[in-house]
Amino acid sequence: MLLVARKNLLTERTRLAISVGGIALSVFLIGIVLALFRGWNENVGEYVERVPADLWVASVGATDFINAGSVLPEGAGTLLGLLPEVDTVSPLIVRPLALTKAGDDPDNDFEIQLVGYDPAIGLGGPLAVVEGKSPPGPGEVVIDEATSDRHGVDIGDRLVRGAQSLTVVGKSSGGDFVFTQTGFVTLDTAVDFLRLEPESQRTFFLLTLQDPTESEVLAKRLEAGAPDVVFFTGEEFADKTRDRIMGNILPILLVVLIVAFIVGLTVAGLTIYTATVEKSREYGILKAEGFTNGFLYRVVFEQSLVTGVLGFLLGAGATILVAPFAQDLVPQFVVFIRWQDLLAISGATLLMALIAAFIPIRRLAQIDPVMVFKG
Amino acid sequence: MTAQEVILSIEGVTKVYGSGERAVTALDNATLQVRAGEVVLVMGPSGSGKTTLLTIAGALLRPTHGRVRICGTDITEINEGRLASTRRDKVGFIYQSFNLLEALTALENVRLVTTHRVQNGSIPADRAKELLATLGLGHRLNWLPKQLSDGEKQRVAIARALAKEPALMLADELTANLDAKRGQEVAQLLRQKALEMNKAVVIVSHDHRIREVADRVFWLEDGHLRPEP
Repeated sequence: MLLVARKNLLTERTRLAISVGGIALSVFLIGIVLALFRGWNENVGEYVERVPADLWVASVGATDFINAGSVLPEGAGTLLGLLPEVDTVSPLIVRPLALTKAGDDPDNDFEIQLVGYDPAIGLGGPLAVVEGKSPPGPGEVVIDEATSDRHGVDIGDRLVRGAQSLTVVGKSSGGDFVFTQTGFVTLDTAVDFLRLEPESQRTFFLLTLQDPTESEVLAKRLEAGAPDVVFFTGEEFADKTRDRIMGNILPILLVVLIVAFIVGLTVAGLTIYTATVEKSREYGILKAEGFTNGFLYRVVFEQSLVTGVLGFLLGAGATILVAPFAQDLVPQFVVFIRWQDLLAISGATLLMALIAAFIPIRRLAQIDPVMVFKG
Repeated sequence: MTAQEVILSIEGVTKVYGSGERAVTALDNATLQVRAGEVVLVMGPSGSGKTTLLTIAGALLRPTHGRVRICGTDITEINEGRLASTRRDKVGFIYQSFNLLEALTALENVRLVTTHRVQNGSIPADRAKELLATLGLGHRLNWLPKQLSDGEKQRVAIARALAKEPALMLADELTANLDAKRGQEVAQLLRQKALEMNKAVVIVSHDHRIREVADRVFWLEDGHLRPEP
C-alpha cells in the first residue's frame, strides 16, 4: 500500500471510523437481509421439498401448499391407486387455521397449517419428531417446534377453535413457513375438527411412483386426461410454495438491500470526497513534485479499498455474530448465512469502494499544482 | 556535470493571464540563465511576477511566448506527462509555506518525493536520514510537521528538495515565515548545500537580507526582469 494512503487513513482516525462504520452498517444490513432471505427461503420450502412424494395432486387452481384451496374427492385417490405406475397414494387434508392456546386470551390466536394425513401410510406426516409422540391419536396434534417457540405452546396444552380442541402430543421439525407452521393430525381428526364430509374433501394426494424418474412424463399424461386436476413434482411444488411466500417479501427485501447499498456508498463516498477536498493542497504538492494524476488516483483508491475491506470485515463479523442472537430473540427472524452470500457482499463492498474512489477523480484531475505557491 | 553547464535557460519568456481588455502581463520578455553551482536571487515587490517566473522555471506553467529549457530539454514543447517527469527528476521546490505532508514524518516527507522517480529511484532511508542530519534534524526524523518549528520545517523542505538530487532548485520566499536569524541560517544552509552538491538555485524573495547568499541578483517589477548591478 502507498505510504501516503496509509498515513492519510491512520492520521484521520475519526473520519476512518465514520467511513468504516458506514460501510460496516451497510454490509451488516445487506448481510442480515440476505441471511433472512436465505433462512426464510430454506424454511418455507423445506416441508414440501422433503416429503418423499414423487407427485403432488391437486384440483385445478391450486398453486402451492399454502394456498391450499384444492378440493378432491376420495375417489380420485382410488383411481390414481389403480394406475400401474403408482406405488402409493396418500391423501392429505390441509387447511390454514387460527387457533388459541386453551386459557389464553381468544385474541391471542395464531395460525397453523393443519395437515391431516394417514398415519398408516405416513406420507405427508411430520418430517422428524423432536419431542413427544407421533403419529398423533384421535383429537391429538403434533405441532412444529417453531409454534412451540413462538407461541409458548407445549406438550399437553390444548389448542382451541370454538368449542373444539386438539391436544398437543408431540413436536416436529421442518414445518416452519415463518408466518405459519404445520400441525399434524390424523385424517379422521381433520375431518371431525374441520367438519368436512368424510369421503369427499381431500386437499392433495401424494403419490410415490414405481419409477420416480417418470414423474414429469406421467404428470403430463395424467393432466391431459384429467383437466380438473393438476400434478406437481415435489421440487416444483416446493418452488411454487416458496414463490408464494417469498414473492411477496422479495420486493421489500430488495428495497432494503438497495437502501443499504446506497447508505454505504453515500457514507464512503462523502468521507472519501471530503477527505480529498481537504487534502487538495497536499495532492497539489504531490503534483508539483511530479507525481501524476494516476498516482493520486491510486492513493484515493487504496484509501477507499482499505476502508471497504475494514468495513466489510466489521459488517460481516457483526452479521455472523448478531444473526443467531437475533434469531433467539425473534423466532420469525430465521437466518441462514451462506459463504456464497458473504462473497457476493464482499463484491458489493468492492463496488462501493470503487464508486466512492471514482467520485473525487474529477476533483483530483482539476487540482492545479501552482496553487501550492499561494500562501 | 560541470560548474559551467547551463541548467535553467529562460529566453524571452512572456506570460499573459486572461485575454482582451482583461489581459494581464505577469512576465514580459524575461531572460535568465542559471548554471550549476550558482545561486540566483530574484527580488521584487509583491505582484511583480516572481511566483509566475518560478512556476514557469519549475515546469508547472507554460509561458505564453518564449522558451524554457531545463538541462537542455525545451519544456515548452513537451506534454503534461513529460513535464511531470521533468519536475520529478530535475526540479526541487522549496516553498514559502513549507508544504510538508502533515500525515508524514520528516523522514517520510523527504523519502516520499523520491518514490516513483524515473531516474535513480527511491533514495534509501539511510541517505534521507543523513540528509536530515546534515541539516541539523537528526533528532527530528520521526517527528510530524506539526511538532516541528517553522525553521525546522523549512530545513525538512530543503532536505526534501535535495533528496531528489535535482539539477535545479527553486525556492519561493525562503525566509518569509522565519525570523531574521533563522532566515539567514536557512538561506546560508541552502547556499552551502547547493555549492556542495553543485545545484543551480533560484530564490525568489523580497527579503533584502539574503542578498549575500546569491551570486547574482535580479530585479523583477511589472513583469520586467533585469539584473542588478
